[in-house]
Amino acid sequence: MARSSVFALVDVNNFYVSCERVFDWRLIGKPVVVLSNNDGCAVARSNEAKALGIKMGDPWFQLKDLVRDKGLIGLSSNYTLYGDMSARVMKILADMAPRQEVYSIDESFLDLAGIPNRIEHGQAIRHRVLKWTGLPVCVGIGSSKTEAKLANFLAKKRPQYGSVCDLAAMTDDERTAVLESIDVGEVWGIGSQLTKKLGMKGITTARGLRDANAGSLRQAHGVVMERTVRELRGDSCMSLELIAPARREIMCSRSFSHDVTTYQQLRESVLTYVCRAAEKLRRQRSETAAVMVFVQTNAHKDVPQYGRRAVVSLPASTDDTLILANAAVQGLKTIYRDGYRYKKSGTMLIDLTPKGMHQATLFNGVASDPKHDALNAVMDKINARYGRSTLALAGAGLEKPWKLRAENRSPPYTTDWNQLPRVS
Amino acid sequence: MRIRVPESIAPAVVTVLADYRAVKEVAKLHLQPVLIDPLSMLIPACATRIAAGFPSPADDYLDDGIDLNKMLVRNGPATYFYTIEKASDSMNVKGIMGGDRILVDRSIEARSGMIVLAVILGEGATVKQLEIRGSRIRLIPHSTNPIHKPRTILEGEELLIVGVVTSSITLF
Repeated sequence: MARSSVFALVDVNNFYVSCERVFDWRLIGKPVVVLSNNDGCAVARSNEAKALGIKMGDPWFQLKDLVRDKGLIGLSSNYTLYGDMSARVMKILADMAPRQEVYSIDESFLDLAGIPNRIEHGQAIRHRVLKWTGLPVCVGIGSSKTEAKLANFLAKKRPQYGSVCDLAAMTDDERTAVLESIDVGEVWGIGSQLTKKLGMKGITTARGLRDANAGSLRQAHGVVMERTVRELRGDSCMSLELIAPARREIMCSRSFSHDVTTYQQLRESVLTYVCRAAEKLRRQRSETAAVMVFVQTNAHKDVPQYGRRAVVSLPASTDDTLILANAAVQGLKTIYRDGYRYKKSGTMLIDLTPKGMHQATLFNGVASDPKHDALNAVMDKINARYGRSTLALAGAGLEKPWKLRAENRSPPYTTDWNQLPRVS
Repeated sequence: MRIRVPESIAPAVVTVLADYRAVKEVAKLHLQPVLIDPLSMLIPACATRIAAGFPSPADDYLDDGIDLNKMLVRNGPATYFYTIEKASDSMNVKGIMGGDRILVDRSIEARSGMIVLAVILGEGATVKQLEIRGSRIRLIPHSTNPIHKPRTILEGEELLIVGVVTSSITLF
């Protein structure tokens, strides 16, 4: 078997909870969960919370007894903080390997080919990230991405590895014994449906999958499954994706705290999201040629269902909040229907191009209005300095009764000059 | 016009058509008669600025300017800002005043004599000078206010050194 590639998967343990603990020491050693948008359900758990039997996705209202009896703490999600801490971790990892793929907010693949003493290097990564950010990570190393993922699972779940596990460095016998001890459902890409189907074929462990007939699995489950089998054998089929594809669209959308039934409130929400999206658009120095608006009722409730979207094309690409807001409202007008209970709305800016690349249109002369440009620039500056939505369109509403709940959100400790953590 | 499609894809087709109509409706709303102003047609064919004449003799001497980040932040991903509590005067002799913003570098190994941000678990976070003598660890205040006394870390207490304080910013 050619084992020429070496990948590491580094991920942060209980990422959201760990971020909160870096800045609030009172959370250390306590059962903590971070809740999804709208404080709906648990999306991250501290080890102490896991020990209480709390599962991913447990609804918050069902956990209230644990708050009273066991001192469970529930925090609203603080994506501003997690985003900044993620950027720090990724930057540190980028300096510790020749090549990196940022896989998710808390996971990164690294290319470790040619690096001697990989376990030692993995420990060095762990120590540096912990020291520099306060976040604990686990490192899994393998000859393929799938193997690295599995090694990461071992590093996290089995204390004997000391948070760094190298499957590629094991002897064949060792590796076979370890794979034998892992449920097939833990293999990357094998979900609960596939686990069931494989179980019927008598494949219940990672080893069973590795040693199965790749050809017949391909016939039954497709080429992705065959690739997984080959990767489990140490044959790398997926390389690192080094450059994140440039964002071709910007989406801003949220569920409401409760059903919205009036056009007025729906309009407020759409304007709020389009302002936010326009801000993101300007930050990445792009322009958009079209705005999509959508509204949606609650599919999980037994109420009349309705969902529509509309795309509004603009005469020229722009990054102007006022023009985009206008377009979004026009779109909303065409899709709004009275008499429904709306659960969600959103806007998406599509067809993005770098700013200043577009042609001035025949009828429009120069596309951007210098007065608007100045207004947008001032708005961005003020909001960057004094906090999001300090200056916004009046149409976006002041009270925003539809706005989702985030009752226990920590401050953006690392990104807002006025909300830094306080010490004596 | 009528078209026949397999029943299974009928809902998808209906949705696509609805979207298409919505787009057309919007397009209708959006298309307003346009007055063509002959003046606005006079767009310069070449809008980029073309440098002409002699280059400025100062061009050669241009520098990056002064960047406070460069001076204050030695290691970006490991550097964090904190605010000193308004009422806090325990380190004022060292120039750390209430309301100051301090920079903490987590990557620096804390040694005896350095000013650190430390947490005694159960008590809270504090900025003090670290003193290590053998196995005795103390946090030393430097204050004009005699109320502040050195704090010895007792056995069983957990001390967390968050990082080394590298500067303090006072805004007047």
